[in-house]
Amino acid sequence: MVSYRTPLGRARGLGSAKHGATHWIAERVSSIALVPLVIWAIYGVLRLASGDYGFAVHWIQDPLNATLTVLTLATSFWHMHSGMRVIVEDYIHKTLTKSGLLIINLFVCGLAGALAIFSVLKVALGGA
Amino acid sequence: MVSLAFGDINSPNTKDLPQMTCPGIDPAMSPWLHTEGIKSAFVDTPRPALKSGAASRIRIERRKRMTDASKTPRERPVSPHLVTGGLGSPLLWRWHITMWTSILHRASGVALYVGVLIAAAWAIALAQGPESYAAFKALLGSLPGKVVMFGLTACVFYHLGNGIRHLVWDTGRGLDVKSANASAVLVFAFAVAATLAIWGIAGMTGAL
Repeated sequence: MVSYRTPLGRARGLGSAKHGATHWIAERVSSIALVPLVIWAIYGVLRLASGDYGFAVHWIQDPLNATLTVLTLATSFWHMHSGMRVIVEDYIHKTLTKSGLLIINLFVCGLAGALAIFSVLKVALGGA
Repeated sequence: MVSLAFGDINSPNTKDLPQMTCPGIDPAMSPWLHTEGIKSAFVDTPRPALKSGAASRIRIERRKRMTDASKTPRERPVSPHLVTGGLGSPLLWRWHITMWTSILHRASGVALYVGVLIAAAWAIALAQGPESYAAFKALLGSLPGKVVMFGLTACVFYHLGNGIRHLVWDTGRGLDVKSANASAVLVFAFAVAATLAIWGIAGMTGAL
């Protein structure tokens, strides 16, 4: 179809995809959430490091620990996915390589995140 | 493709003012392609009134100079980039501490990507049972495991501190050079102190 509109007419008002601000804000909000979560997680790692398997099961079956662990994992995976995505978009400019790396990033974060959260819930809900 | 010259032709400092010439355009062939006698940089239209008297002589003088300049291109202004050429060439810019904070924020983020995957492996090992969990703990408790965990601890605290620095910047505060340098030192100090403190606590509580 031949368009009789001028290039300027087509571009005017189009602007960006209007998604940039959403990504930017989501990364900031996840980083704000991660500040207390990570500090709590470091405390958790210190306690888990000095305990054995039995202690870890007991620890994760505490509702507060289970909830905060799932939240830390989910927020971390979200945050690291957006961070790695920005890095790929910054440095990789070949469409195929870029798309491939973005898909790998999404799949790694999605798979590892789902596995980790499901594992925590399994132990926390008494499956182990 | 416009050749521009800034400044008033009657100004004694005209020679010292920067002149932007475009290669490929002979100023003598297109005398209207540069602005002269006006202090702005927009494209001038042919102005025959300027072709007489002193203005004309200065114009011929300048045209000669610009023609000479186009034969031996003067050093062009360069945009901020790290190296003058390929890898291994000398840095064009002095290393600042704020450059380090920016680069290390990204590097520590990539390291923590691996760190979160290790955390995911912890959860999976826990769900698999006592043997897997013991193997996981033995791996992290080995010397290479401890080195990795020490590095990740430093990365966590650096990324945490510098992340808060970025959040403060996002509110528009602390963006001037002096504050940015000071907060960079603060973040490095926090990362080192917190890492050593946590490993000290780990040693005292028997977590190592």
